Amino acid sequence: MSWPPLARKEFYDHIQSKGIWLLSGFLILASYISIGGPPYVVAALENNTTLAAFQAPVSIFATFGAVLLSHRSIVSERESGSIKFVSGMPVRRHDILLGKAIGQTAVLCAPLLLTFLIVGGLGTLQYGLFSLSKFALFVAVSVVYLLLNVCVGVSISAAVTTSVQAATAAFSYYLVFILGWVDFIIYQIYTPLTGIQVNPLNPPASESLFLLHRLSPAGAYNVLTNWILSTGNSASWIVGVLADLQPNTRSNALVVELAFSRSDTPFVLHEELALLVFAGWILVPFSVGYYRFRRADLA
Amino acid sequence: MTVITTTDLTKRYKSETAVNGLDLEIQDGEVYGFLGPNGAGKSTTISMLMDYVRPTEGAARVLGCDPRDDVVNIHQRVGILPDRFSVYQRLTGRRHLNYVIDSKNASDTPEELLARVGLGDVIDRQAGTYSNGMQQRLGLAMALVGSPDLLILDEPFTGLDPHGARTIRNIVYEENDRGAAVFFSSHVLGQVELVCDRIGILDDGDLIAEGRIDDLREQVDVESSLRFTLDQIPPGLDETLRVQDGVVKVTEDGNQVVVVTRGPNARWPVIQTIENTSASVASFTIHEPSIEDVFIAHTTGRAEPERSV
Repeated sequence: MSWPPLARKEFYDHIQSKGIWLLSGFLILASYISIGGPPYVVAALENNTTLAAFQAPVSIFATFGAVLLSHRSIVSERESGSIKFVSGMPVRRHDILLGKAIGQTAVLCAPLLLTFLIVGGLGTLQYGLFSLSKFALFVAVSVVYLLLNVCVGVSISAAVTTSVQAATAAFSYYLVFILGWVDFIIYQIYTPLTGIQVNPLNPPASESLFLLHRLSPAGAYNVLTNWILSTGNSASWIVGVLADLQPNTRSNALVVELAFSRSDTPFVLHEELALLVFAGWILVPFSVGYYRFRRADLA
Repeated sequence: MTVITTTDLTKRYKSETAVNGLDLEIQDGEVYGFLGPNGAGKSTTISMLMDYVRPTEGAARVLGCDPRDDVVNIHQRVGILPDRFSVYQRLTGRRHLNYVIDSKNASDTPEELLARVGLGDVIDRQAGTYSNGMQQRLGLAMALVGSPDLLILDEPFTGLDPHGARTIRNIVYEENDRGAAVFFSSHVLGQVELVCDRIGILDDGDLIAEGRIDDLREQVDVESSLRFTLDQIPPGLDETLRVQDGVVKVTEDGNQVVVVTRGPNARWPVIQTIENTSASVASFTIHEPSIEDVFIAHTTGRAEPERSV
């Protein structure tokens, strides 16, 4: 347990950066304009309507901030030479990665919590008070989601030797696993491998397609937040899921209840398993980053 | 007790050998100057002592521990001022010190340490606004946290004005008096002479000379000047001196004679020759070769041309 001093240093350092406050502004604005939606959303969620507003902004903007901050964490200190202070302290190399990841997650909690409090308050004026337990769970899952993205960024930063490599890896991760995952799995993985054309408006009852969808961090986050709000078992956005569940509308969401009958929902598509996906996305990159960083020459 | 021992310590990168079979032994309480031109391998050696990089061959022991196995113990007891570091732009001097005090679980206060290096009045300013010399002082204060048993200072005089250099020297004296060993690298020679008990000269990865500064002067073929002030200059003195072994040049100026000699054994016969004349010596000074002359002689195999006394 020698990581807390570094985590504190990271927090004091980055809490003063303009980027964090810029991110807060974006996150608050994006969440605020996401409050509400079509009548069927309000009808389904009632006084929890406000909570749905956080899903996409956290998944798109907060993770972008997390990756932007964390992918430089180690490599920038190697390039500037300040790594010689950090690794000159009585710490082991894994403490450095832990201190960075935890300190930076703590910093990112500032814009996240501000957003939840401010926009939560504003939403309450419109839709009444939401369930506080659902709110707490939503916040907790969002914090873990940020931690996951910071761990990926820190691991990338620890595994490479130049900031160009770090930026390339980090933005590839963001584009593929956060922003473009559905299209990526359908057009780059599922259809090429199986030969089955997928119409997202009427997806096939394919266990592997649905599973792939929720194996990305963004997919797992949606599964967990949809689960908290009881909108449906899906790795897609809340609005799409609710639209799909309306009798007369179709969306490109992949909703388990619509593709599989309730009794034979495949085991791997149960919502709890998204927690394992989260754990995997924290542990696997961290192990790779640590393995590369453990014996790396830092000077 | 030895604080640093290296045996056959070697670091090779793809195409070059940065440090080649280095054997060092630094004693407890010693101030050791590690000299060499830029790129000689001084920082790489320090990086291996601190476990920033791993040796290709050989081993190092710092305070009795292997840096590869016991890095926590070593870092707890070593204060490091790294070479070419950068400070955290947004953090104040106080936060920098708090980070190290926190990490080492030390009882020092930022105020006291920053005052020692002359930064007491800028303690709450962001370090990004500090000048290079101030950043160097901040780095030194960070190295002093926890009263380390060994101070490793990598190019501590870089970017410092004469006041800053004196601060470093005074702190080296103070820390040494407290009982700490000091190992520092430098290519600024004048400062080394003032603080070191012993120096080692590294060139292109090899330790080419080591010892007390006086001994190193003796070993090399550098020039010293002897200046005698006599009551009168005996006729023929310059011819007599000129043919003596090791005498390079003789100049007479009024009743002064300046004899430039080369090599460690040339001076004494010159003094004897003068004493054996009828003239009486009013005063006598020796201009020893500077550390720079010794350094250049060791690193290039030849001495600098004679300079005026």
